[in-house]
Formats: sequence, structure tokens, C-alpha cells
Amino acid sequence: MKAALLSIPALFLAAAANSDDIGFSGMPEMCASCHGRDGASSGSMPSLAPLDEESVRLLLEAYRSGEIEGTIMNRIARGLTDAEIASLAEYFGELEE
Amino acid sequence: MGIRGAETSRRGLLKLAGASAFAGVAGERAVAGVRGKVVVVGGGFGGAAVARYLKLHSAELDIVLVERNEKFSTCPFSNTVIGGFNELEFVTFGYEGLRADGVEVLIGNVVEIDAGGNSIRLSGGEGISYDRLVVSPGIDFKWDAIEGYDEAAAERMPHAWKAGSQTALLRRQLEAMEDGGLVVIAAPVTPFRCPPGPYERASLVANYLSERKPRSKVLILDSKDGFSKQGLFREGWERLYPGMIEWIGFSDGGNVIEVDARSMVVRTDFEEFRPDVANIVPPQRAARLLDTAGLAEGGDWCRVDPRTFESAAAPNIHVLGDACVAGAMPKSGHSANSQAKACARAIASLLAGESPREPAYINTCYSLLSEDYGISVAGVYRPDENGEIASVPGAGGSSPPDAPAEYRQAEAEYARGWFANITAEMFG
Ligand SMILES: Cc1cc2nc3c(=O)[nH]c(=O)nc-3n(C[C@H](O)[C@H](O)[C@H](O)COP(=O)(O)OP(=O)(O)OC[C@H]3O[C@@H](n4cnc5c(N)ncnc54)[C@H](O)[C@@H]3O)c2cc1C
Ligand code: HEC
Repeated sequence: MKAALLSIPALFLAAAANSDDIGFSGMPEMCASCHGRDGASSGSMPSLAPLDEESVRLLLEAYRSGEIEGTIMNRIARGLTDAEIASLAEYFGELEE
Repeated sequence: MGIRGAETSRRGLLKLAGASAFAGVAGERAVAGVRGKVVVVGGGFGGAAVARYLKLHSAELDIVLVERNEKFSTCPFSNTVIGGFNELEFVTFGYEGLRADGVEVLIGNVVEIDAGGNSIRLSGGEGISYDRLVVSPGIDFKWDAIEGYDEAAAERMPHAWKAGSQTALLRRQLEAMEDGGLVVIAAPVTPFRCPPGPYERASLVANYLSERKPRSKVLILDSKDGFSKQGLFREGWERLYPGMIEWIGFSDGGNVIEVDARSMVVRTDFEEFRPDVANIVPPQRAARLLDTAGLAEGGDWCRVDPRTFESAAAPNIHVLGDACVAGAMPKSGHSANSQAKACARAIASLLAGESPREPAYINTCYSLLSEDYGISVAGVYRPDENGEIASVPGAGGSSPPDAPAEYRQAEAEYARGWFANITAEMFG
């Protein structure tokens, strides 16, 4: 189960309590200071909202492995686990439509 | 809608949770369960972010933000004001966005935290009680750590290390200076707010001088033997401002021990300087307000839980940003923002009687050396088994040395993008 925020909680939290899901680590929020809230960037940083789940996953994996070279994204992606990448992809993929 | 996209965010998140059909119902019940009053002191990088994220996660919470000033001027990008690319308005923001989100913003000066009584007191005498308190008041200076450098001296020799009138003062002094003048920047001992800040400032001052007053010099007198992104700054200075910026480290006599603001004298262990403009960045500590509740435990900074940012000294009080000890995370606006997000989640959990989840943090410090020359240092962090916030091995680090001009240009663009997004997140 993909969990997200503590606003959804009580019942839901209890159900997901044993999940080490990304939603709980709050990682998507950590991307917002650069990429904008909800993946909608107001400046030069790329918006993540238009990307689908598969694209986000492939891009993050490619930045992590060094297959694509950016300015800073490689340094950040190298800190993400597989589970986090999967969940980030799902999260930003959901914002797509 | 107050915060741009807040609704979308909520929907996005609910949709995510909505993998289960009852998410909406569960949401309402959960929200009803998470009631309480959270008071936030300080509407800067930590405080504004935590207030908004608390409201976003737990709409039923009463959130009261107490801030001394009607408007907040960010230190990030204040060096571009000093360098003359931007006006002070560019870095100045109001609290309308937070109010529109339902955060109660009070303009007032907090003079006491009563940890035992779960309340704070304002200078007018009124008290405000809380279920949980979050403090992100930033730094205070250690006046007189440099002999002769007190608040009055700062009116002649600005620190410009809290943005606003000090930023404008330093800019005016640079504008008034004759060509051929000497600008001294005194950089403090670690830890201090924004490790690359003094060197970004030297760069942007040199940018202005090289265009308008090319016979002038910038002299950095440092109380340390090295500094953040040192190789990258030096590479940039040679490329952009050859011969204009000189750096003297601690061992070579850079440690400023005394100033005379009236006669404009700056003394180090070895030497005496007579600058035309003196920017003295004094040693720092957590805001003294925090001592009223013993949060710094007799020291300079406040120890906290690496997951919730709850004080090690007092229950129900969370300390964010520059004032806290956050392991490997530097004292930056981005760090404070990242901590605020984790703290908002932790508080929502704690008020709901749940145990907080495992957080991860990101920090980036972009520095501009000119309008189209940017460098950065980044990190990803997690609490480790010793209860410290540690850098994730292999992640993070600085921009590469000897990168092509297009790379530096791209980072300058991204620095502006970062500023646009993080300030919109806080105030937009
Ligand atoms: C020149 C310079 C450049 C910088 N550049 C960057 C950068 O590019 N990127 C970056 O990430 N960081 C940068 N920083 C660092 C950044 O400014 C700080 O790390 C950040 O502001 C810390 O956030 P905070 O919430 O702890 O404190 P602040 O953002 O300073 O907020 C504290 C707030 O609390 C209020 N307050 C304090 N005491 C009281 C009281 N008693 N009652 C009521 N209100 C009170 C203050 O008025 C203030 O609004 C820079 C700093 C400087 C000096
Ligand atoms: C310090 C700012 C910063 C942070 C924090 C950050 N990014 Fe990025 N991101 C960038 C930049 C800049 C680029 C463009 C590539 C480059 O130059 O590194 C980028 C590119 C991307 C891309 C590729 C976009 C495209 O359309 O090609 C994805 C996907 C991405 N980031 C996801 C994330 C996620 C997920 C997070 C949070 C874990 C995150 N980023 C955190 C700055 C950041």
C-alpha cells in the first residue's frame, strides 16, 4: 500500500505502520524546495509533474548510475534507495494528469 | 487558495493513498484525531515552512506563528543585493500566503519560553500556551567576542548576516566608496550560518568593484584555515576577478580580534588594517531567547532528536534551523526547510499518538560568483545508529573543478530556480 501523509492517518497509518514506504519518509517533499510544490516549478528547475511514473523511475536510476550527467541531480540521486526511487516515481507519476 | 497548488498536492497525496477506497473517510477521521495547538516562533526558513506543512498535513490543527517583523528578508540572495544585481524587495516577503492557508500569524517579539508551563510570553506581557512548540529563531551574535564590535559598531561596520537594513547599509557603503578602496570581510569561526556565505559575498562585491571601481581590493580576514568550496571559489576568483580578492587564513594572521569602528581600524593577531568598508561577520550562537528555557544547555546550540527535532533539554519543544545541532547538515536555509518538513510530519504523528517515521533530509547550498557563474554543494542525510544525522555515503558533494563555462552558467540558472521555488514554498 502506498502511503503518504499524516493527514490521511489514523486508520490508514495503522494499516501501513509496518511499511517502510517513501510516503512516510517524506522524500517527495524534500524534492519540492528545488522542483517546486507538487512538481510544478516556477523557475529554471525542471517541473516533475509532467513526467509519468516510468520516466521518473528511469531518470532517477540514470542519474544515480551516472548514465545521464546533470549538474546536481547525480549527487542527490546517489542518496536514494531502490524503494525510494520506486515510490518517488509513483508519487510524481500520480501528479501527471 | 492560499498556497499555490496546495489543493493539488492534497489531491495528489490522497490519490496516492486512494489505492485504498476508504482513504477519504479515513482521512476525515484522522484529521479529527489530530487536534491541538502548535505555536511556531520565527517566520524564517524553518518557521514559515513548518507552519505551512503542519497546516497542509493536519488542517484541524491550530497553528500560531509568532514573528518579530512584518516582512522577512531572506539571507539567501541577499549577496546579490550587496553586489547590486537585485533590490532588497527581491528578497523580501510577507506572510499573506501563510495567513491564506489558515496559519494565524502574530507580529510580536517573544521574550520567554516557559517549558514547564507550556507557554511563551511576548514583550507586551501576553502569554500564549501550546501543546507543541516549534522554535526556529536563527542566530544571535556574540557581541564583543571581537573587541569593540557591538551593536553600535555594526552601524558603521555592518555584519549584514541578518538580511534587511544591514544588507542595505553595506550596499550603500560600497556605492559610496571611491575607486581604489579596500573592502575587508571578516569571516567567523565554525559553526556559523551559511558556510559558503562570506566567500559568495566576496565574489559578488568583487563583481561590482571590477565593473565600477576596478582599482579596489577585497580582503577576506578569516578565523579559519579553510572554507567551504574553497577550491571552487579560488578557481572562480582567478577566472573572473584576477588579483582582486585576497584571502588570509587563521594561521597567516587572518583572525580579527579587535575593531575600532570610529576610526575604521580592524586588527588581527599580527596586523592592523584601515579599510574603507568593513564587513564584520562575528561569531554566532543560537538565539538567546532559547536560553530562557535552557534549550542550549549552557552551550551555544541546541541538541535535538535527529528524527523529530524535539529538544534534548525540554519535552514538547522542537528546535529547527541554525539554532539546532543537526549533525552533518550545515546551517543553511535549505537545511532548515528540510528539517521543517520532517518535523511537521513528526508532530502530526506525535499528536495522533503514532510513532514518527524514519526521515531523510536534503541540503543544497548554491553560491553565485557572478550572474552567470554558479557552484553548489549538496548532501543527502539520514539519522544513523548513533542518533546523529549523517551524510549518506557516496551521495552529495561539490560541483566539479575545472568545469566548462556552460556548466557554471547552468548552476547559476539553477540557483535562481532554487530561490524561486523555495521562497514560493515558504511564502507564495
Ligand atoms: C549572506 C547569507 C547568504 C545565505 N545564502 C544561503 C543560501 O544560498 N542557501 C541557503 O540554504 N542558506 C543560505 N543562508 C543561510 C540561511 O539564511 C539560514 O541558514 C536560514 O535563514 C536559517 O533559518 P532559521 O529558520 O534558522 O532562521 P531565520 O531564517 O533567520 O528565521 C528566524 C526568524 O525568527 C525571527 N525571530 C527571532 N527571534 C524572535 C523572537 N524572539 N520573537 C519573534 N521572532 C523572532 C526572526 O525575525 C526571523 O524572521 C545564507 C545566509 C547568509 C547570511
Ligand atoms: C538542489 C536542487 C534539487 C533537488 C533537491 C532535487 N533536484 Fe531533481 N533536478 C535538479 C536539477 C538542477 C535537475 C536538472 C539536471 C541537473 O542539472 O542535475 C534535476 C533533474 C531531475 C529529474 C529529471 C527531469 C527531467 O525532466 O529530465 C528528475 C526526475 C528529478 N530531478 C527528480 C528529483 C527528485 C525525485 C528529487 C527528490 C528526491 C529531486 N529531483 C531533488 C535539482 C534538484
